[in-house]
Amino acid sequence: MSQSTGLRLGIDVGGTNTDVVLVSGDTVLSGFKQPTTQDPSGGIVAGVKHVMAEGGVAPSDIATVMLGTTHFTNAFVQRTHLEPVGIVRLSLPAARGLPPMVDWPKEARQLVCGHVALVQGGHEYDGRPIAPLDEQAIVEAARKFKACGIKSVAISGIFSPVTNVGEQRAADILLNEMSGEVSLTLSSELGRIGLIERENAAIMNASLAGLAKTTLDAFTQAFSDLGITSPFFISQNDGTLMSVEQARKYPILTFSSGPTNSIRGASFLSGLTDAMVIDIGGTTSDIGVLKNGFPRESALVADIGGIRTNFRMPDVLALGLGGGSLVNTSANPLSIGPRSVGYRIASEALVFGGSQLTSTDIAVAAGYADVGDKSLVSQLERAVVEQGVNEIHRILADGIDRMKTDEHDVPVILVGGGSILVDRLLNGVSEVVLPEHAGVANAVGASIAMMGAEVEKVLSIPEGETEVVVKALEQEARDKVIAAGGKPETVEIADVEVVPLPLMADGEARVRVKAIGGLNLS
Amino acid sequence: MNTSELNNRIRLQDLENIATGAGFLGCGGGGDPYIGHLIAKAAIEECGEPELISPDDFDDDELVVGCAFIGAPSVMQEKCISGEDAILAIRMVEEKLGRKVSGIISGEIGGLNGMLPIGTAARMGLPVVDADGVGRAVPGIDMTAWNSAVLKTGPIALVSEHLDSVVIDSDSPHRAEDIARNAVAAMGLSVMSALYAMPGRDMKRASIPYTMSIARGIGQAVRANHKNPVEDLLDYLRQTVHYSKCGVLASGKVTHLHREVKHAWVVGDVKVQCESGDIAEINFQNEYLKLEKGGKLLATVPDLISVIDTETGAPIAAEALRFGQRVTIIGTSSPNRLRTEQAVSNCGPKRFGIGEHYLPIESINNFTIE
Repeated sequence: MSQSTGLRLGIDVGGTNTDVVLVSGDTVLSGFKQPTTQDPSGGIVAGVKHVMAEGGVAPSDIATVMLGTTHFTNAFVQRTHLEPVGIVRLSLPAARGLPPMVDWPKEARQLVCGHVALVQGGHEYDGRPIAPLDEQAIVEAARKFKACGIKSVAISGIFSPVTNVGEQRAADILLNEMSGEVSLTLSSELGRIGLIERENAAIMNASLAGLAKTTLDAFTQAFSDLGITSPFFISQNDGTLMSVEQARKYPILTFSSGPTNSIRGASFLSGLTDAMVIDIGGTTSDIGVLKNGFPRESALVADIGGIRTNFRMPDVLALGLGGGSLVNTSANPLSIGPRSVGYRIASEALVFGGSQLTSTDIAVAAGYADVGDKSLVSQLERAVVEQGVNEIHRILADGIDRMKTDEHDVPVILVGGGSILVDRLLNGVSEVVLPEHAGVANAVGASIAMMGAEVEKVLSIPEGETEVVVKALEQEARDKVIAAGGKPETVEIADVEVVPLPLMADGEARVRVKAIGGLNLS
Repeated sequence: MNTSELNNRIRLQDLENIATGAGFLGCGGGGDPYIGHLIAKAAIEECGEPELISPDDFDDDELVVGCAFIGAPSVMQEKCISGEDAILAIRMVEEKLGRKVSGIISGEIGGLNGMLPIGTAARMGLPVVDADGVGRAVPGIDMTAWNSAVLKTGPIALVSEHLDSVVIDSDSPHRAEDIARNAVAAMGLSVMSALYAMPGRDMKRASIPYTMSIARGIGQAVRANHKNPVEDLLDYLRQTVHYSKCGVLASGKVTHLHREVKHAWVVGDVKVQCESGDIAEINFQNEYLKLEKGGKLLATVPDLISVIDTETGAPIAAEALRFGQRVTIIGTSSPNRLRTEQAVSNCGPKRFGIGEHYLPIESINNFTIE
């Protein structure tokens, strides 16, 4: 089966469904969707077996497996499987006024806060130490953590994105003192200026260390049981991949991979690189913006489970319109959503023999959607159907307009089960594309992910030398991609951001560079 | 003791609203109030809620001192605050003057500095005076209404996280600003200061009164959910003493953005494509300085130009502007003490090189409500 070599498995383990696709080059050979199982690896095994059987391929034909999951996001938001964390902050004498977790909701703080050690250390914006690192204090912290039974520690340090030597040294001491029986999260690995937000991300990550280990071990075991021995990668927030080892250390990097994979998958399936993507589910329509093949990121500070982080999340607008949205005919003009029958649509919508008028019933009655029993909506008033169809398209067109940055009409890619609600061009839209396999766009998005890396620094840039400075950082980012498994000749710079800093000497700026590259499969 | 002491305190639940109000009054600059919010929260949880005292109730002969962060907001985002630094700065001013202070006042209500006196006051057990030095945010110590009223900056105490300190004593607020800028750079770009120590009678004569309460009111209005955040905000501003002449000057989407550093300030311009088809353009230097729409001037400093999220009403700093944001630009009158001849020369359009004459916002726009 020589044409099958280089096959990829794309898997999306969501809160509701587990999707699996088998992809060869640019072609989706097979896709399968089923409910997520209590132990998520059960659903993965069943799905993989299904697509391999349908595609007629053997485990040895699979060149690589790429998996996206909302498992860790859901665990954090629902506060399940979290473990107590030891926190070492290298900051004294600065930042005493704001202890770690100061802005966490009380119940999350009680659950996650194991023991906090504020330690002398940290750096100035230009990398000079604020004060010498107090190594003895770290040794003492390690003993305290051990005494409390803490197995996961988050380390933060002032300006650690500029230089991570302090956090690294603290990590060495902790590993030594705790005889290796500890998971460490370094805030510098999570990037970005803003101590509290970066530290929050590190603590959140550390609280998931145990869950990450058991979950990823189970996934690895599942592939091994299936006889798949090829490399296995996890999708991260920005649409790039990480190794299982990296995901085990930094599960937080999967937090927004769901919407990212949906938008990237829509791009792949439609062949478009610049468009709006509407993912219509049962309760909401999520509109994202595809720019150069990647999701546009939100400018706002990301709040995850009530905790502020400085993660970049895809800029997604959620509208209260889905396939199960309730239609209110007592209002004039009629209104749709945000209330929805959600996953109960299969029993409660009129076309499925239920008693609730939903947006899906409107689409069926109007004659353009074909699900359920059409005769059950034949007695709906023509005016109601017409107004309903108009309202569905108005809500979506309004959402599109809110996400646009200019007046030009844009193409729209529809994905998700609720895409049957749309039957015509929306206002402000140049074309509506409904690609094949749109229902499993997330898994497709996982299957096409690339390797990526980011470098962020605060620097003093001599006049006229911005380009030289940026070039050096670009090289650093490229090297990181290649080190992570990127194919050297495919690595390119995806994003450069230079933000000048006020009140510093002229030329001080925060520079962030992101590089991406294709996966090295050889 | 007046009776308001018992029922007029800054409460934990006020902090989020004051932060939103400080963001709005920051006019794009002044630093992110979030860190200030956390500092105040931590201090109140530890030491209790500070009293908020009306400037009218403050004794003429008692001493009040201004409190402000000086440095780069992005460094503040890393170093946060030590907690003792602001206290030490105030103690040093007391020592220099040989007198105790009886109240703390915000140097500028706009941005981060609107929040900082709260935590310091809580830790020192002193009241916060419900007023500030400028009624908005400005990029220099010498642009405050205090300076325009020819008050002395007094001894300026600067304290770093190491509790290293510098006291600047100068007759000239301009030289004081220069010295402070250099000292701040050497101290690590994030210092707490105590400045403009003054007796109550000077504070009453020169400060912008009630701005802490107004900041809280702005936050409450934005979250009120009566009509929508923009309308609720305007309804509230119309009742305030300083910002009553106000309105939406433009609303639309950010379509152009340019930012760079000049003379240590973030300068640039942003264009907003309005629903009406016009282009609104704002020039900024840390703060939003000037607004034109369709080529017509609509507002300049010292009047307030603030950019808010059209949907949520959340204020947007110049550093946080992004392409495609849906924004509403609100203009309001500035407090009268920023409109005196001296004040306009200190912080008006000419000072920023954006025009010869200052035209009050209400003389350019029709703010009557139908």
